Amino acid sequence: MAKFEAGMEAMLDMFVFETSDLLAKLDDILMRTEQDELTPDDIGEIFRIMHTVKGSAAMMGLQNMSHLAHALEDLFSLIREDPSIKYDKPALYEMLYAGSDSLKFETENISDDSVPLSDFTDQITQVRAFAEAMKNGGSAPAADTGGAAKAAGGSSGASLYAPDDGDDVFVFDVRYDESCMMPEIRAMVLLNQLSAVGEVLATLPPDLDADDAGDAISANGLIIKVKTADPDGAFAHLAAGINVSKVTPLMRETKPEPAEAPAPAAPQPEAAAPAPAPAPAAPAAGAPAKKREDKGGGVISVRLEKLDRLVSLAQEIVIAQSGVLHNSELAPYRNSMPGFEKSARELKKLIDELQDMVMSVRMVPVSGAFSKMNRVVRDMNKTLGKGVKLVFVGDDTEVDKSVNDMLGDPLMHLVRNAVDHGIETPEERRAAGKTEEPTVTLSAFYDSNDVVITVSDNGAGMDAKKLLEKGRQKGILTKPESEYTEQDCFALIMAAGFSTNTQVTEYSGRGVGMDVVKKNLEKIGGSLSVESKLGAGSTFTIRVPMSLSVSTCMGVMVSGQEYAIPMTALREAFRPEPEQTVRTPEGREAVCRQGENKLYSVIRLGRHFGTEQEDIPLTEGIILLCDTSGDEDERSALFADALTEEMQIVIKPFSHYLAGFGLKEKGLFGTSVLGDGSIIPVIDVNEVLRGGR
Amino acid sequence: MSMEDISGRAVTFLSGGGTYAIDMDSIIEINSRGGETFIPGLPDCITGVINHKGDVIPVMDLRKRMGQPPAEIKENELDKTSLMLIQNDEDILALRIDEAVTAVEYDSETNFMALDEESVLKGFINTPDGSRISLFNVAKLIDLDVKIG
Repeated sequence: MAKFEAGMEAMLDMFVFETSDLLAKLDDILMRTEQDELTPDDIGEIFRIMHTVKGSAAMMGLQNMSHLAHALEDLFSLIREDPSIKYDKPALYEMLYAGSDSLKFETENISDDSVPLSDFTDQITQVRAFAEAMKNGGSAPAADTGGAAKAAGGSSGASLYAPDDGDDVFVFDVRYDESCMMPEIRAMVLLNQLSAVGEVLATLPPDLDADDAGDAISANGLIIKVKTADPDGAFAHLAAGINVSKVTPLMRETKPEPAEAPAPAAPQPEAAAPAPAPAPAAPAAGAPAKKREDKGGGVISVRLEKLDRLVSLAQEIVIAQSGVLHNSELAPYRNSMPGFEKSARELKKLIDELQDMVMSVRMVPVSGAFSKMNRVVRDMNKTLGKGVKLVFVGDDTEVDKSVNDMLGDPLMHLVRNAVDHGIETPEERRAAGKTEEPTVTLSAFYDSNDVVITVSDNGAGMDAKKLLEKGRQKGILTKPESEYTEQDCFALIMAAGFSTNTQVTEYSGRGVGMDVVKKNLEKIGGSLSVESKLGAGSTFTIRVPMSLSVSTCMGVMVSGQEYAIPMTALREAFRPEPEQTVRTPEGREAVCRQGENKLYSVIRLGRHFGTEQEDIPLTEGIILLCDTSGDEDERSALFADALTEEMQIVIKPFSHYLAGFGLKEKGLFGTSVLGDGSIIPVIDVNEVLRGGR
Repeated sequence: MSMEDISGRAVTFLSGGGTYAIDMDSIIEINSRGGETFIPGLPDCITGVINHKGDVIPVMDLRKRMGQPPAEIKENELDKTSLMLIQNDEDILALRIDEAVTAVEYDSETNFMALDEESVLKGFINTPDGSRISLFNVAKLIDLDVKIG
């Protein structure tokens, strides 16, 4: 069973999206103001965030979240009303962070039924107690929202009938259970449902978004004025509303005493002259909706699937366009249709623009992923006492949404690592005579088709010798120690089963880590590398394609057919001179680079794919040295007949049916549909090298 | 073999000298496009892939699937083979056939003899002229674990 209220599935995405967004904003504010002054604007903002979270959680039927947000909202209403109120700021922030985390956790797991709803009672009690202490400690005036509510409750339902209302206008008094949380939110849902049978003209309280609307409804009920041809239907809708305890139709010119009798069958409005003009005084009904619109601020959120469909449609248009413009049936007329050519050029220009535009829609700045690290560093500073400063460079760099989404985990790992292992303790820093602030810098920039993201610290740096020693102990060295360059030693920390910290802390040292980060990045065609200087700090560099959908590939000819190889996997391509090639007595072939003595055994792609009719001499083809995650590239090189051209392509994995034939293991990633509609297979260099051993 | 009434509409076609049929519900379209791209490492009867509205779908050569000799294309004669795009659940395949013929109705009460679930054929359709048309079970046809011949 779902945790949220039945019938609210449609709202789920919106709820998760909005709430996550608000909580992220909350974290930002907390982070910014923790060491700084909490301005009235910030206080107001936090209050509003909590208010909205409370409301939307209640709408989803998530009582626990709603209650917790409510407690925090109340707390901030105290601070808002009396800026001079005294409180323990560190304790307040701890509580806010904890609250924000709890709400975040709940939001993230809302559609996962295996995670039970959390019980926030303790947390709520703590917040309430804090608020109580604050009130008693300072000269806080009691929050006086009740008075306003009472004042609002004075007017009567019947006064809502305007003299010229038609006899299709009815007024209902709706009462909610006492236990009902957030009746104003329930009321909005109710009004929405009511719009199916009629037009809501006005309500009392008039503005359901107002802060005191809930209290007013609890105290005086909700008065709804509705124009409908089906009063019975409207009544049924209202009576079926969630948490509605009683619905009373109010008669015209009767006293607005809420009748105690249970709902009568149907209201009997007094006959009145049919007035075609709708009630002129109906200001309130539209207000909530309008307010919500304003919040959009010109930005709408779109489901990713829709966007993806748009992207693939744009690609199909490009293909279809080429099918039309380069149609061979047009060939005889080519020279005699200047008008057609002109229109064709125009069309091509527009379609190119469309494609660029569509791709750009998915681009988001990395600042979102970066700013999440603020919180990580803040929490770690708290426990480790290192006082690390986090600096961003180029955080307005844009990447594809999918890339941005997967950056979170690697960044988290690297930042934790930098703070935990990289930066020394204050004592160590003093002893080393370091005066500059301990700093972790996140930076992002473009490099050709890739986005490069670095995480660097000005900490202790890594000791190549120690790493090598450790690698030996762990038995993960793959070649004689003497052959390890400094760079190789640093790369050891990204090997499986390596952890440099002898002490396992809360934040790192679970043994898995860097190798997993590296693997995950490679899965999407990215890479991870590290540089370090002992005593000066380390820099980890993530390189990912700007967009997961478009990648730069090199075209190669194998047995007369063109294949694509991702550029990221290639290090070097050359045509070997005769003296660079060798042939072993058993017929194996190998090559070496110019001026080097290291041999790479040759894997002929044609033979690997079983397409080669007869071997062409190595000196007539192209040797491809690869750059991959494994160490296979240290030993082997690929051989193709020729290079064709560099291309920007969209790699699609094989369909379910084709994937069933083990093409991945045979060394193919997938295919790409080129601009002219033709298909090109894409080679998975890792798998080919693995298969070649 | 089965007690229940089985009926439907199917498209008949020629392949390797035999006449076969596939349920109309399984057929997306029939065209005569060429331009297959070879993909190494696929079974013999999957001769390549084609681009269908931006999707890359496999081409299954029915003669090869049925263990029949390849079609002989005489000189000065065009390749008459057609691609029949068929769908089974999520999977879409292009089936290379010799030539599409016509559409027939079948009903186990009149002209259809059903086979059991194990066969690559759903059964046989008897025609008025006394010949028999083999109706494919598409799921079995595209499942290469089901051996034929």
